[in-house]
Amino acid sequence: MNANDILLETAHELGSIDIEQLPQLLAKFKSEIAQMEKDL
Amino acid sequence: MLTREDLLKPEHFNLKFFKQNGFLRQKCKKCGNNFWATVQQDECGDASCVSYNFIGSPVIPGKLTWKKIREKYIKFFENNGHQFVKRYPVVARWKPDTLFTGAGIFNYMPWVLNGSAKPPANPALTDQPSVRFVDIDNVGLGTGRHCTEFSMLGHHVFNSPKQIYWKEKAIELCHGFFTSELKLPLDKISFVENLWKGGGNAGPCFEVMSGGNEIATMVFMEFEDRGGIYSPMKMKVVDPGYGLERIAWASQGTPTIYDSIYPKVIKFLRKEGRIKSYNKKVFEEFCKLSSCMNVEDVNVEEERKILIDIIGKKLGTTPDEIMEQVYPYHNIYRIADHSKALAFILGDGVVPSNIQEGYLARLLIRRALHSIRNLGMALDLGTVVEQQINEVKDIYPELDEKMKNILKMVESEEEKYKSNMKNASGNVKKFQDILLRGGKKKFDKKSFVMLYESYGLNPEIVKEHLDLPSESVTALDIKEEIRKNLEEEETRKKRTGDYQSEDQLAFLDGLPQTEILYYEKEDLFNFEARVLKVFDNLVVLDKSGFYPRGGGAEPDLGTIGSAKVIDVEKKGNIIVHTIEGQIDSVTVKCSVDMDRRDRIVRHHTGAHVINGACQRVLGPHIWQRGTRKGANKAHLDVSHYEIPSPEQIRKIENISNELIKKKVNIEKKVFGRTEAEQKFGFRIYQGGVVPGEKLKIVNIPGWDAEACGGLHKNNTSEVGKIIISKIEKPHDGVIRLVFRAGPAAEDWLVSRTNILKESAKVLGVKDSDLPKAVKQLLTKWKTLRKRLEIKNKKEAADLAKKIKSEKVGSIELVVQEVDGDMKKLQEMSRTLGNDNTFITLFGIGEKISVFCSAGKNVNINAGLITSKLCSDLGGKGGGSPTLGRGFGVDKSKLAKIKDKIKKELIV
Repeated sequence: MNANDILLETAHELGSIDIEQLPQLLAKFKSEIAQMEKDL
Repeated sequence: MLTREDLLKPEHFNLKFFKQNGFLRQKCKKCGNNFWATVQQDECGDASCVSYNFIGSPVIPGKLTWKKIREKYIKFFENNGHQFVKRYPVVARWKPDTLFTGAGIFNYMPWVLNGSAKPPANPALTDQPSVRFVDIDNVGLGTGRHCTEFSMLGHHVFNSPKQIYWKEKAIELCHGFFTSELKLPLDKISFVENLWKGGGNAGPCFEVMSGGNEIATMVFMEFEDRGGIYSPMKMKVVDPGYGLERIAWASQGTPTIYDSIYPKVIKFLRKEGRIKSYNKKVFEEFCKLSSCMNVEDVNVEEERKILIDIIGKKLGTTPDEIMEQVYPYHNIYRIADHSKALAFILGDGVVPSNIQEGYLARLLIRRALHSIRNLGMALDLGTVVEQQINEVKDIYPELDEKMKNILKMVESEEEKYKSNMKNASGNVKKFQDILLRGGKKKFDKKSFVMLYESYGLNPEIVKEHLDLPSESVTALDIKEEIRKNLEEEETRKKRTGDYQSEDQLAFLDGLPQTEILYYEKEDLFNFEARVLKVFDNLVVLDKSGFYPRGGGAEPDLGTIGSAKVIDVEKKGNIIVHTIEGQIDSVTVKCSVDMDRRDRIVRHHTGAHVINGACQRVLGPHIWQRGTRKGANKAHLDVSHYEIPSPEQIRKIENISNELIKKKVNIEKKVFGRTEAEQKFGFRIYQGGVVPGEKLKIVNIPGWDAEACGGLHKNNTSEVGKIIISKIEKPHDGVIRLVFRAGPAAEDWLVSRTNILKESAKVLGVKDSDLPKAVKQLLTKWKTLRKRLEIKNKKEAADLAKKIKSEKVGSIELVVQEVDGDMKKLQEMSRTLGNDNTFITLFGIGEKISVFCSAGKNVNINAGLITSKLCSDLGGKGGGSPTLGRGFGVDKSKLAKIKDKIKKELIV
């Protein structure tokens, strides 16, 4: 699998997303998880 | 200069042939037209003057099928020195002013007639399947003779420069075919004098009639028509049109044309629809008299009612009894007719959509499905289309080869239709309500168009569900409206686009045509030129190697002297360069950006490679619908009825790259138009109609051949690796393949690799593990969110339990401020609320969330209160009488407002 194939498979997991924004999106998820863990 | 009257003078029609063969020139007592017949008769024989008198007593002996007549026709004319020419597609891709091939002469319009192309044979013998939508409302039990698709037989003669034959010989051949070959009795044929006009040409014609049936029209095209003023053409053309199906009908004498051309399909539909046999007397009377229906100027439905009344009185039956007999047949004829037309239209590469020929294909499918529904039949339209293909496949094997593809498109449309029908009533009512609220009393054309575009409901279906009266609108009106809307949209785009002003274009007046360098020397990137004119930032040179914007390709960039070239366009024969900077000498050194050119040309050639691959993977219906080739990416739009699967996309990409690896030489040659069409077929018109006598054909042997004026690589290997990066759906019936080739693909892969690495780094995983890690991340995020929701709900409920309400009259009033968001307030209200409570909650966060709810026994409008509270807090809100939501921003006012609520409610 080349980089694009991996990204497409990744994007498929996330639904309809702009692949260019993937690193920022993942960082956002991570930070939300950290916050939720704190709140729980 | 001549007028219509000049063209109708007897000298144009007085043929020696008629005089030598006992024909008499007579005047029709009904229509007043002159005609020739061997016996004295009152009427000319046109359908509007006499009823079909061959029904039940055929005029051509032997009950010949259309296939037998076709065979006899070809044999007769081949024996008389004519050469048979293979049929042209029913989609007139070579003709700029029409969508479909509506007659045999369309094959030669405009290029052969204007002298730009040689005829494929002279005289040329043809059997041309033709499609006409103008008669669509007459199909079924309209006139009984109109078909959406029909075969027009022709023996075209192009008399220039050499005279082949003209009127005398043409009429002699026509007469010989009917009376000697088909044995039509001499006293059963008449030739009606008339004037034919079409496509800017005109000429005298003879309409060949037999028993109320126009079986052929012999046009002698010899004038150019400039708005009713006529001047002689250089080329005189014999343009005959023999109605193959009409001749078969004359030989079989069946009630309608449909019964004689596809009897098996009609029998099948009768059985499937459990349609009873008709009363022969009533039915045949109806069919005979339907010849006189005035089909061009009036509503067919109205005409049919009048006809039914006449027959009812004549036979002593009621209109309802007659309708009961004819209505089921009207529907089965329509299903059979539309299915045959669809076989040709879809087989020749049309994909149903909302625009142009795609709209008309969809229209036919929906009308046929509507007829199936009218008869309550459990029948797939594809079954009928399949039968029609089976009926014609020995003559047109190409339709059988494309059967699977045709049926797939019909099936896909049928699914859409069924889904639209399910919601038809609700959607029509919704539009109706909007109109009523706007004070309109009539369902207008605009609403019909919107319902078609939004939900695929054609006017027939909409009218079934309407309560309001409606404007008289047909499906063809809707198509016209959609076309106008698209044109307006195009004009709007052009106005807002980067177009030069009229002043700027006027500066080109008097300039000579630019010598073009990029075709002859594709690798010429540096050249010297003379500056002919500079206007603002526009420069015209005596010669140019800059390839201009066009055919979807971005322009070359580079430098002219010390100025930067930022755009290049071709205006007529002049290349206009847009620059940044100054031109400081008369002779300038020019330099084209080689790297940019290379990337664009790779993309241009790559588009041809991908187009060929799409045809192989997705089907023969694939046709280019648009393209754009830039330096960094490109796209190719093709007609297709669904989003392709990831496997199909990979396959298109893989076979494209296999072709690139095979190092196939690309041929770029100029051909005469007819030679190009004969050698490569009509697929050369992928980019639309290409004007001119000569066509530059870019041929990837065995893969793809297109008429294309762009620049291309010499070998497929020079394109480099192709990556299809994205699939979009710009319009209904069209898919867009976004791709990159060569260095652009490499650059893109690098950027993708960077995104992948960055993303993997965020999660601290290996690149290849990213999809798995993201799946786990997402699962964790969802689980935590769920747990947090449960926790928040519990906390909200616990908090709510601690809050006491205050009795104000019969109302239990709650006014409370808490830390939290709207979700928390909603949760709290669930615990607090009952039929007698009025709850006002303020959630303090970055903003103030405001929530109000009124129990069913409380006569206070929660929405209005919310709106007021939010406004007082400097925010916005509203809602229904029982529920209001909003926000405020000014926390300093909160205490005062809380007091105010209580006071106001107590008062």
